[in-house]
Amino acid sequence: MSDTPDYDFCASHDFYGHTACPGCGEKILYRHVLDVLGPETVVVAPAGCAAVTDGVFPHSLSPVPYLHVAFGATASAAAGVRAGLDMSGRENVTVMAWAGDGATFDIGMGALSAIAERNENVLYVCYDNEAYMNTGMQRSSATPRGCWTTTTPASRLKSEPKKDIDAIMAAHRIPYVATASPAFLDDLKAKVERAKAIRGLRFMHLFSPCPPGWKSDPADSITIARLAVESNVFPLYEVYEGERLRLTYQSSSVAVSDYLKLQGRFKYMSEQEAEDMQSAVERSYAALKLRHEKSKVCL
Amino acid sequence: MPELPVSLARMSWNKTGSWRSSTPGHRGKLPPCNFNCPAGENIRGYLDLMKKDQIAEAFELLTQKNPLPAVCGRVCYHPCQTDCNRHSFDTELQIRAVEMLIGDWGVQNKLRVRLPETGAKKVAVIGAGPAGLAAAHYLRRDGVNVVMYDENHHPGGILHYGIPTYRLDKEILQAELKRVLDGVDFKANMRLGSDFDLGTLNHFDAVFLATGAHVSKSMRIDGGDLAGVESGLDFLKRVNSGQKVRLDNKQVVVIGGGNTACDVARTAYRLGAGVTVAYRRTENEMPAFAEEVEQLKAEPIELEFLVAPARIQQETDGRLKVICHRMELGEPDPDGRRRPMVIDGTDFTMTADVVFAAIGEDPDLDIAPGLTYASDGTLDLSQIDQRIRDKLFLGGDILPNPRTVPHAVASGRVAAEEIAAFLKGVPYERPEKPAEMAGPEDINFSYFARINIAKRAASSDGTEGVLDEAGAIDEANRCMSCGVCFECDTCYDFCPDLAIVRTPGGYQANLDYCKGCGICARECPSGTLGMQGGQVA
Repeated sequence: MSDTPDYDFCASHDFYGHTACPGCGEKILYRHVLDVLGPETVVVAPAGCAAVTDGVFPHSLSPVPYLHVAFGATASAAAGVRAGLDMSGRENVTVMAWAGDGATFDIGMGALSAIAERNENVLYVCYDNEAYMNTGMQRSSATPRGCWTTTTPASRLKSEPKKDIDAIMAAHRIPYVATASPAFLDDLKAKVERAKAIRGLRFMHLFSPCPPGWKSDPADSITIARLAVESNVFPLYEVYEGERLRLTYQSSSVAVSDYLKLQGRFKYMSEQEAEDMQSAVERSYAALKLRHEKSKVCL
Repeated sequence: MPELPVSLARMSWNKTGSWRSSTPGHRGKLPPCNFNCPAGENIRGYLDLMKKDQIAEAFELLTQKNPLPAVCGRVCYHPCQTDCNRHSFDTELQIRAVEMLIGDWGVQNKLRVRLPETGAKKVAVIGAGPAGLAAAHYLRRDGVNVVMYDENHHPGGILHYGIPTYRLDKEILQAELKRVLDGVDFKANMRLGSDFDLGTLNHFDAVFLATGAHVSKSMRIDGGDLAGVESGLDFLKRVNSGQKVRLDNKQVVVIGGGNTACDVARTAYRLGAGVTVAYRRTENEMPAFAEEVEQLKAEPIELEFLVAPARIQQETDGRLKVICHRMELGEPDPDGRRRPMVIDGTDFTMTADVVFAAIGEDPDLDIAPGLTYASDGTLDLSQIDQRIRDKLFLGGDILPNPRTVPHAVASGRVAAEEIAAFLKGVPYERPEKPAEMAGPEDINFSYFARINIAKRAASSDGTEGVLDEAGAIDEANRCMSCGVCFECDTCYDFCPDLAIVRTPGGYQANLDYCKGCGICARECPSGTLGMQGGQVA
């Protein structure tokens, strides 16, 4: 398919038998990220789907050390592991925080902001399935407006927009912020390669389809991820030093409704809300595009 | 106890395959090109080889099913392109041009087939048209001694004597025939029924009869036998035999709407005649291939639809008066085409120097005494000597097959397989065709939208339908491999459970871990994978 190297780290390291649901986006992402990072990696993970589905004690899916930490402490623990490795002379090892949207947007926000401000040499990856899926699909600040969750039922859909975590992280002026999608694996792997090569705090925001939580057909996970990108609901881009922004994929401007209709979690949305979402998406994409053009001039 | 509890074992004991309610597998659908090819070519296969710049292998694969690619690349009506799923994306692949290029490459490089030594078995092939040629060629490739008889001086049958040179270059034809007839004993000017008869062939182990259909149907109208009223096919044969035929400033009326009528009209026009084609139905009902009708219409040839000749009279100056009825379409005939009905009182006259009848052809039954048609349209062989009948095989246009070159080629090739089995004394089973072809609904177009795929190729001088080798490779690169795995890794990459395993030439599901989510089938670009027993069809 592509000219990228043959990443087979997971395939050759017994990466089988995890307990994630059929069609889980997180496990597709995790495998490809680990394939790029390779064996010299330590994963630090808080409570969340990834932590639960990695295995049942005393078993683990991961072919690398995987440290389970408290929900709010992901970023601090990752910084701690980094310091320990550096002191024992193992600066070549990548420390990757692997946290869901709840642990990133909500509960771990303070610690994350702290390591960003200190520019700790950590790769922080958020797999975003837009709610607390593992505990029963409660809304998080990553849940989009108009979405159904168990705490924003049909009678009171979520009325607040999704938190713009990428802008928040870019505003910390960290070396690298990127979004990526499992439907665009070449783009994802290229970004992980770039992130791996950079020192300092790197933040990656990965779109992670969740069939049970999104009330979607497991077979549609990649299609939904692709439509999210093509409709500009989840544009693919990267930001260097909080300034230079580069869109890494030219979307084909599919209607947002095409993205919404494959997911039961959006079925209570009114037509007006769907139209509002379309125009909100257009506005934020236009802003990204403007920054992309301006960044080209700055280069 | 350690300070931290540590998991040191892995998870692969957990066989999540037990969660599965549906299973990925190959759907077994055929690419539309392969599905529709009358000659049974593996088109997808040779396009893939072209893509890899392996033209020699492409030639080899193509000629396993069709020994006449340079010919078919010119004269075939290319149903391979009709349902090409690339239609739903941009434009269909120019498969015929690729086939022609591969065929011409074989001709230019004077490729020969490596022939085995012949054994003791001997087969007579009667008729050197496409069916006989294919049968003789594949039998010879199978090590059988083949003697081929034809009433004409040149082999090729309709290819040589029927198809005009502007559609099929004689040099290309002869070069290809030379390869096809390599090792075959060709006996020219031997007409079955006059120069020899079936009884003299008893020393052969099998006889293949493919004498075609070349007797023009008679118009059965008054004046139909006047001098100046001629069979269109005989006219083509005279022209193609190299006779000097001049029609300068003559007025020609061609009766009919089939491929022969088109060829006759266009040939007469090239010989200097003013041409009118009269057909009793409308353009929609013309039995000629759509492309030939288009080419006919592109030339300064007059087309008269809903017109049928009633009678022909000779004037004192020798010219012909063709008195015609105007027609209208009535109820559909059994073949689905609406029956033309005479509109009374609308007769009119066309003046012509020559009238060519091209209203269809019948097989020549004078080749063997007692040969007739049974009521179901098949040949009644009961009057043929049983010693011959038991080893007699038929093929080509003598059978109720569609009368096209690729159908005849396939009929000859299948007969060769059948005869080879007969000679070995083993039963022959026709390979069964999968019932379905992969349609646009099976293709994941988003994959092809994202990969940098070549634009529709064109020849360097812009001639429509002709490609050079680089162009053919570009064109092959546009192929979406409908229904056939092309090892793109999509299923492998997107499986959340890493339960797709690469195998030589494709992939397999690791059922120990496959949870049956169906992403592989949904995302498969070519529609190769499907789910069984689950939601993804």
